[in-house]
Amino acid sequence: MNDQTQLRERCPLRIFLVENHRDTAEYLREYLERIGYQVVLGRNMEMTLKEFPEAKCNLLICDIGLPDGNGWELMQKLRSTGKFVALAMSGYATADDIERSKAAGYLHHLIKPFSPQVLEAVLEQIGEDLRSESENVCGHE
Amino acid sequence: MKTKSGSLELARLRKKWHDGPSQKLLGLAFGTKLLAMKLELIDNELAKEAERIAELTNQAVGELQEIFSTEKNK
Repeated sequence: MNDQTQLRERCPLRIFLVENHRDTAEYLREYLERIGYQVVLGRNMEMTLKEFPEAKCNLLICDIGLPDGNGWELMQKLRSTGKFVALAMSGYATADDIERSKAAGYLHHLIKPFSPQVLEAVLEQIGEDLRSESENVCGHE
Repeated sequence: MKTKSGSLELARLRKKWHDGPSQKLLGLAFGTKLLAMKLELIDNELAKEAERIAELTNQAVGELQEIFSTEKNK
């Protein structure tokens, strides 16, 4: 077991991934699981609003363009459900889009397409930040 | 100066990019990387080939992202 895996086990990121493109969602989910994260998949806004509060995830990764709304609106509705970190991902990449994601509460706005290395680096940083905070944040309690 | 038709065309391209290629390229980047990871367990040579394809995909993804980000932010 390497250091990174041990660190993830001490304070794992449990990820709620919202992506409506089926193949992309499955590849993302499987990749994230293989590098050591737990993943719950949401397909759209309605499903996420219903399942996120019960999923006990400490990280939301959300596509901005959703079939039944958008990731900015979704974030507003989820904010009251508990403490979690959020990443937006989108093919929309103007300065306004990025600003809107930050204003909605997303820590980063990942511009699609991005590489596995980019996502992994962002997740490792978030994991480190969470580990340096209280154990309660890691446990979503 | 941006014309109205130019802005409409940009908006059309922006939506098409978002709904189509950006999604699929993201899937391709992660799919090829996953394939390389799976092949590592079966055949080292094939895994190296897949890793090269994954790396090429990532380079193309990075270059496309740069082009589109620059265009969209003009």
